[in-house]
Amino acid sequence: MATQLLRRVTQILSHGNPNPSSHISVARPFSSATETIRATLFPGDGIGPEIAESVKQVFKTADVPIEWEEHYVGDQVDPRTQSFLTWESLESVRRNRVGLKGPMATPIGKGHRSLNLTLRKELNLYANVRPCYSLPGYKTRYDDVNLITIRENTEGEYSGLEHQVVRGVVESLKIITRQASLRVAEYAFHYAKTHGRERVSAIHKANIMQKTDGLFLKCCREVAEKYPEITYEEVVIDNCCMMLVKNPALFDVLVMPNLYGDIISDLCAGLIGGLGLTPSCNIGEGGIALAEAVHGSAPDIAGKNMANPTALLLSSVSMLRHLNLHDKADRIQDAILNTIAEGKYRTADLGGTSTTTDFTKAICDHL
Amino acid sequence: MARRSMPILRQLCNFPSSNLTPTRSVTYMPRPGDGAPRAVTLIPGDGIGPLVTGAVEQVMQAMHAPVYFERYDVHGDMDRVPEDVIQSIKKNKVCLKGGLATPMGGGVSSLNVQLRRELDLYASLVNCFNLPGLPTRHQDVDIVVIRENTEGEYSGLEHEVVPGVVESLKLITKFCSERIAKYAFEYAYLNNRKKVTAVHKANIMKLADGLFLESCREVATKYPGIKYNEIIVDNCCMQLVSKPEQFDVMVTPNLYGNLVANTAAGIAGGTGVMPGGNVGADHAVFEQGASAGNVGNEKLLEQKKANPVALLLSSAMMLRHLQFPSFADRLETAVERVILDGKYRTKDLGGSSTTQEVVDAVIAALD
Repeated sequence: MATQLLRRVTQILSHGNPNPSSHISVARPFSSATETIRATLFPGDGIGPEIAESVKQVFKTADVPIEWEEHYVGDQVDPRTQSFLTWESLESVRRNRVGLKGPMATPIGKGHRSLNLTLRKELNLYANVRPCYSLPGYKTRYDDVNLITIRENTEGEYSGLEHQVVRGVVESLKIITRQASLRVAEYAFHYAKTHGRERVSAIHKANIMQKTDGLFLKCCREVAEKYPEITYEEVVIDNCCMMLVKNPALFDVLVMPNLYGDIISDLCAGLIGGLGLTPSCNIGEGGIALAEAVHGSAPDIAGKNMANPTALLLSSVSMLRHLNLHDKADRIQDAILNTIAEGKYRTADLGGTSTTTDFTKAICDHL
Repeated sequence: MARRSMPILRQLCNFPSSNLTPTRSVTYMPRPGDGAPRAVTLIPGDGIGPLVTGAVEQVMQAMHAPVYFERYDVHGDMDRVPEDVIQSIKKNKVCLKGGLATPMGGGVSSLNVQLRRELDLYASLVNCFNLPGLPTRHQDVDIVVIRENTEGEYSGLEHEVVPGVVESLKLITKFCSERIAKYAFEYAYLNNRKKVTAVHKANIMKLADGLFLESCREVATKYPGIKYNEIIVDNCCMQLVSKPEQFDVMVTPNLYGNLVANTAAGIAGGTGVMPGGNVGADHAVFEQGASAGNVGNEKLLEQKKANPVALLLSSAMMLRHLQFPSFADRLETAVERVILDGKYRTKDLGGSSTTQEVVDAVIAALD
């Protein structure tokens, strides 16, 4: 493994900084609105199929030029991928470069990888982007949240490298590499620039973990120099948590390593109303984007037409933005926000009594 | 041990349900000679540290409390805590300290962490509660976060594997997990707390956090009267910002404890008002509850507007630890009166007073 690392390092050193446009979809041939784009859709389990149906309906009403290729998670382990996702499904995402995933329940058992882990490893999804903004009309204790959390998704504390040294002593490795940190920092600044954001904050604990988070910060600083118009700051994570719960308007774009990202992105989701309303998008090497709904599959309300499709709809909006279909994305987002703001059609988890189909129809009417 | 538990029982009777007219607490019969002044090591620290420890000294003098301070100068940029300071704390057994700044990314490990490790202060306690009169977004918050202080992610064991790849070791041992779980349950038992929640990420770090959970479960069986449950750290942060009243005592490993304590402090009023301390088998160091490494910025220092409330409440905890309960009651009542009044509040609480004005108000409110 050391030789592999050395080889990778010499590659990086000889090629200089990895070319940013190789894994960011800046000038893709899909920007014309007339050409149909193929996208992979994983409806998922539980309430997944119902909310996927909502998305399809809204897209059809809005005339979005997307053709869905549906794939279902099988019930048998595919030996080529070591999980329930078939090789065909993965190839489909790799080919189409864009996908939408509903909630998937990993069946309990051994001998296969979790579905999320399979997708992440096979498609090399290195950044998880979660835009969090307060939904007007759904009142939480925080009204002015408008921030984006970008979390490094492949290494850090979640490398899964643990072992028992002696009985009663366990060691867990946290790995930070220059390559992964540069990659996610590049994406964060690029995202900030293309979405008109003014400030990027790197979250760390470098006063205690000096070498690991220190390396992460060094990479962020390097990338920050290339984007002089964007303000860059560094915030220690305990301060960040405190400021987020006192005054979330202080933050704009947050970029952080894996563990902190997990906690902070869920904290921000809590600020706006929970995982049922939060969109999320995973970015992979080569410009692959897989938008997903991060809530669970809610098997208890599956099939009852009670599910809230907001999370999946907002995720599909972020997918459209990734494809540069900004006008369609804005229209759909406005329709969703207006529907919730009006308050006439709300699903049970937001305190209303509408069914999924009524809610979807209300959104289509608002388009 | 019965002697040690008396002051804690005192704490449970009076705190936080103290109404603001002083009531006579359950009568406490001291041993002859207990009124002799006790020596306490005082470390003013960096930044706003000297300002707020000066505040504590003034208030102690005004109350004629039987403590005298032995002052030692320690600054964050020293490489080690000086030996005479450690000796003094070992002699006096109790210390009050302002924050020590930690240089970012340098080769020096944090002095706060070093002090905790030398004296084996394995439990860090932060009490987050709503102060009457202080407006916050969340009500009914009364959370005690007990955090393991010596191992976990803050072991400081980092190294560079090859250039560009850094590894950090997270250590979890059964010995440390067991003793922190024992302390948490003992605290809950002695203070009439009903529930202990263990915070973890064992779905990802199966061995490390799995070991921590195992220890907590074992100790939980010995306290059948106290409810025990477990929560994953990202869900925990989400619940803290939406429904904080469900938490009572929380026991966590090192890093998660830092985040959870700061989040809880933020929702209950900010780190400027939360008391806390570090305790070990033989010594106790009292300092500002959460974010003890935050020494404020220069503007705060120049204008002398740092908030002394956190350190004043921590010094009240110290007085109880030294078995001077009525002085502790008087101090807490005075501080609560000043906050309820609302006239003298520092900037982080929404006012514009200086530290000295708040101290004068507290001294005036003493009876």
